[in-house]
Amino acid sequence: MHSMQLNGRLVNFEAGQTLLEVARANEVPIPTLCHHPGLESHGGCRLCVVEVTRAEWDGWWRMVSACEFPAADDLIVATESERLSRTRRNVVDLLLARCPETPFTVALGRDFGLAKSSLAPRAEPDDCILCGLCVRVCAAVGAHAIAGADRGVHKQVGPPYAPPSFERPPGLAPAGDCIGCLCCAEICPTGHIRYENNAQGREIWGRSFRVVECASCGAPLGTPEQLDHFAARSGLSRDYFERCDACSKLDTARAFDQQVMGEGTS
Amino acid sequence: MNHDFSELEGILARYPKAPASLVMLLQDIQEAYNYLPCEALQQVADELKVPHSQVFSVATFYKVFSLTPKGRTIVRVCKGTACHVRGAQLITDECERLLGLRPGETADDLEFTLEVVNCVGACAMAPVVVVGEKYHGAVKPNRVRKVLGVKRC
Repeated sequence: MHSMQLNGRLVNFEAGQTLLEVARANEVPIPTLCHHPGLESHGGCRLCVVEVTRAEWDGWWRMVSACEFPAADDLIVATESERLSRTRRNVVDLLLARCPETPFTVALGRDFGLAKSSLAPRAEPDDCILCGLCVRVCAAVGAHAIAGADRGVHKQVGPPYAPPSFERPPGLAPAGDCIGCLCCAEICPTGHIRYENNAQGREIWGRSFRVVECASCGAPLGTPEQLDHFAARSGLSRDYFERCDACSKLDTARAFDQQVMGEGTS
Repeated sequence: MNHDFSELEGILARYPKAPASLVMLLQDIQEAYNYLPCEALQQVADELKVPHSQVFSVATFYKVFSLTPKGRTIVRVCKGTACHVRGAQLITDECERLLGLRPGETADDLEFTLEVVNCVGACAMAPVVVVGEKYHGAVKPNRVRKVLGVKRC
């Protein structure tokens, strides 16, 4: 077992854990924004910064992102300090300047004692804070349909040629690699990624999808592209994905029941 | 824009079919066509097995790549600090007037593209204008016409 100091307390951890994981396991709160337990850490938002030092460092310290920094023996970690508060407040200040009217950033500002940004707000703000969660979840799903385009203050997220600053060539279908799974919209903390489920099906990233229904109960399941993708990726037959979870369970239970009952009567 | 994409096959054959070849391929395509056609990006993505979205991301990240056609001759007026204090604005104005283009624009006949850049690393010979591959130093407004090699006004 390994151990390190967390806010003056000796805590145990397992090899390979990040500082954030250790802190959460010990119920020490660290604010995060671009972190998601299901995705690889990205270290983009800089909200989870903590101070690390060692006894032999002679008073020197480093500010690191807790979501990425690996826990190590004899490390001395502080999750709260005046310096850290200032750094985190600066990050939130920048986000507020980027998205001055987005409920998510406004609430975040309130948490950090900022009623409004100290910087000039963006002229035509949208709700995107460029946390990268949507791009990472899309890659984790395996669709790789969206990515960041352009750079610096012009950076935007979307499928190729989708951001408004680009002209989509007439021959190119919108969001060609998108499977319409809505993971990006679900994970988006600010609701920037819009979608619509309607009578015709589903719409996201400017593309329309058909929605297939559960073969047994008729509940909406997902898009055909989504089912194809899941079948191809898992190596299971597509039939497996054509039933909703509830119906699959019911089928399994029925089959089991029949088997048991069958054995009982014979 | 209609293109003959026969050249693309040859360019694609130059490098190994691996994600690491992406930037080199895009550079060669940019050089051959003066921009990155949509069809080429798609083909590069398919060949290298890199997601189309990622190819697009790289193509829009670097300044050397352009998604819209650029002129056969790219005129870069340097506006770095040294060039700026030695009159780059006058040079820019003269280029704009002679070419009839604003910075970032391309002529309809695809002859010229005018760009204003931040530093070309030749501060000692400021103000600098780069025409195609050739660097012209200590440019004065009355020399711009000669440097550009244009007759039209």
